[in-house]
Amino acid sequence: MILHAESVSKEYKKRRKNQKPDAALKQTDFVLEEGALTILRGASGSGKTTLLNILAGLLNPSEGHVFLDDTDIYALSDEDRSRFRNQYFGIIPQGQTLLSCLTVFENVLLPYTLYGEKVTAEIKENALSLLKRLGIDDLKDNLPSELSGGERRRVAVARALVKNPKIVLADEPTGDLDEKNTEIILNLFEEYKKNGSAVLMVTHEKDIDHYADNLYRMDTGEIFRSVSLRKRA
Amino acid sequence: MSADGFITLKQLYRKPVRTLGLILLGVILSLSIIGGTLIISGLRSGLDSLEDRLGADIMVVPVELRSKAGFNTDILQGNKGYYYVERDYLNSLYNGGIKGIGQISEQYYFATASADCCTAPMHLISYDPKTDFTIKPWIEVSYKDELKDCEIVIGYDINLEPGDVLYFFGVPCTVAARMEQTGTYLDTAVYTTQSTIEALIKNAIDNNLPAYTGTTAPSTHVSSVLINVADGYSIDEVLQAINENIDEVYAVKSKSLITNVAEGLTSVSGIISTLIIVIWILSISVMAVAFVMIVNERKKEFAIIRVTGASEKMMQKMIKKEAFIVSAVGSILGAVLGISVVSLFSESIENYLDLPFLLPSPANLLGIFILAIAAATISGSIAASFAVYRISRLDPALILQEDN
Ligand SMILES: Nc1ncnc2c1ncn2[C@@H]1O[C@H](COP(=O)(O)OP(=O)(O)OP(=O)(O)O)[C@@H](O)[C@H]1O
Ligand SMILES: [Mg+2]
Repeated sequence: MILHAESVSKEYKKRRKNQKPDAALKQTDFVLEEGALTILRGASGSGKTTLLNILAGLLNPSEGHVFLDDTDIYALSDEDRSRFRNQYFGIIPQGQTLLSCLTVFENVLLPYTLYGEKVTAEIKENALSLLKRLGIDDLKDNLPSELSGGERRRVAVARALVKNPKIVLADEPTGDLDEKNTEIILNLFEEYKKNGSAVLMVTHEKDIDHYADNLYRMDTGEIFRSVSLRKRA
Repeated sequence: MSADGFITLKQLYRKPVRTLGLILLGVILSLSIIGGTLIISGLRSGLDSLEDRLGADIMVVPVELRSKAGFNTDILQGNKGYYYVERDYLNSLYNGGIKGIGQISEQYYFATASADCCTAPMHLISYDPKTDFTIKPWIEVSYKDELKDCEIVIGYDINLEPGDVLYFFGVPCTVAARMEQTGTYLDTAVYTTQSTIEALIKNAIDNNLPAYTGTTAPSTHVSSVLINVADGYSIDEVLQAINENIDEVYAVKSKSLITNVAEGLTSVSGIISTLIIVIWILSISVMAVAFVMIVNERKKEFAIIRVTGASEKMMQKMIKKEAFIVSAVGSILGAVLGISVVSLFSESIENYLDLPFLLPSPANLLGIFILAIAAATISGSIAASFAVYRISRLDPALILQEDN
């Protein structure tokens, strides 16, 4: 599946009276290719999260459209768009995003339970193997409050990937992780990409550009394509 | 189970203090609704039964009672002490001197004051089975057609069985029947025939029992005369004739006795209704604020659930479900508690309010129970509607941005 943003832009409402409304995202065309890992970097406040949320169907763009294949996702009703998000998207938002009332395992299975889908043994096994690869399978029955920041982030990664999403949108997923764990996550992204998913990763990490099939840089609401250093296999 | 239900239950289960707090609000709400309703309806049916039970148009009592303060309510509460009028003064009621007398029957009240004479101190009401029209209709279960000498009918609240024996001045009296409930002092009275009273008094005098200090007897004295007016006469007419012609008695309309009590009841009901409404408004407001606060506190979690694919409608359902569960649990607990408390303390309520009090029948009780639960649960949902509105105004993307 291809996610395609067509001349989207975003201007947030003024926070204070005298503040001039800045375009957080200037008019942008953007394509997220399937079977590719796209890395997006840029200074803080340059509009990365804004773009990612627009792509995720979570933030109405001021102008423009976002298409998943042929579907204009902002033309859908909230219910249909939500269903779409659940079905095709795996989203790792910036920051800590676990539900405090659910255990690690319940958090990971949330994309299934949300719509009352039956959680089969196969699904559970898949979820467990994700947790195992991320090195947190022994924490599966713990509550988020009993986890470290890095462990929580890895749970969020597992939750985003558990349903084998066609589109993976990750906003600084390795923010507070060590090198080893960063590599584990990048390897996971590689696998999903090889299975045909489109993966977008927003990051500040410097030395991972070689993983990227497509590399973008954002600067005050504008997006620029950089040269990918990846040696294609 | 649907997912929103699943998350709701987890939220409730893993935040026990908050959940208990919300449930407590539901308990307070339904407790006040059911408690208040039960008290009001209990008083009303107490009054209704009393009105039926008085059963006569006119009550004629010794004239001393007229000057007694609070006579009207006292006569219904049984605090009136014991006054008698000599039978001779009443002749005109019987010989046609006063016109318009339909049914007429005498009663004689008698207290067995202390325990050394009797099994327990009792209020005895004796009647004349030949003329009685106010006692017999209210015998709930009868074991005999006619009361023989030394047989008694007990008030509803007296804890004895048919065939049990009570001793009055050493005379064994057998329980033969039980009266229906009134919610008044009549429930603890003992009813018997005038000849039995005569026998008791005679026995007390013969044996020189120190406990007996009386100087009257049913053969010569009367405590009250109950009169139904004959067709073609008005109650007021007969009442006036009695009061004008017999100085030794005071005739009152039974209805007017009730009217005074009914006025007391109206003011008590008014206070209780106002209290219910105040508590209702207060608990809905507190619940509404609590739910909105909960939504605000959890808005990031709601945003995350939205990111995972929940629609706005699902989020609203989640809040509604949570509100429903806590207020349903709370109202059921409150209703059970309310019924138990009112049942346990119905006697104290009767004494405290100085009004007859009758618990509703089981069927009515069930109706009130269900209504109170429904009212409290619906109120919980109304309270949650502010939170539901609030959640529909939350933008997940903006919330997630907030703390980055
Ligand atoms: N809710 C909002 N209201 C108004 N302005 C906002 C809002 N959210 C973000 N902005 C502004 O939009 C711009 C882009 O923000 P965005 O979060 O997309 O940046 P970012 O590239 O993700 O930064 P970071 O690397 O720090 O996460 C910033 O200038 C920010 O101040
Ligand atoms: Mg960001």
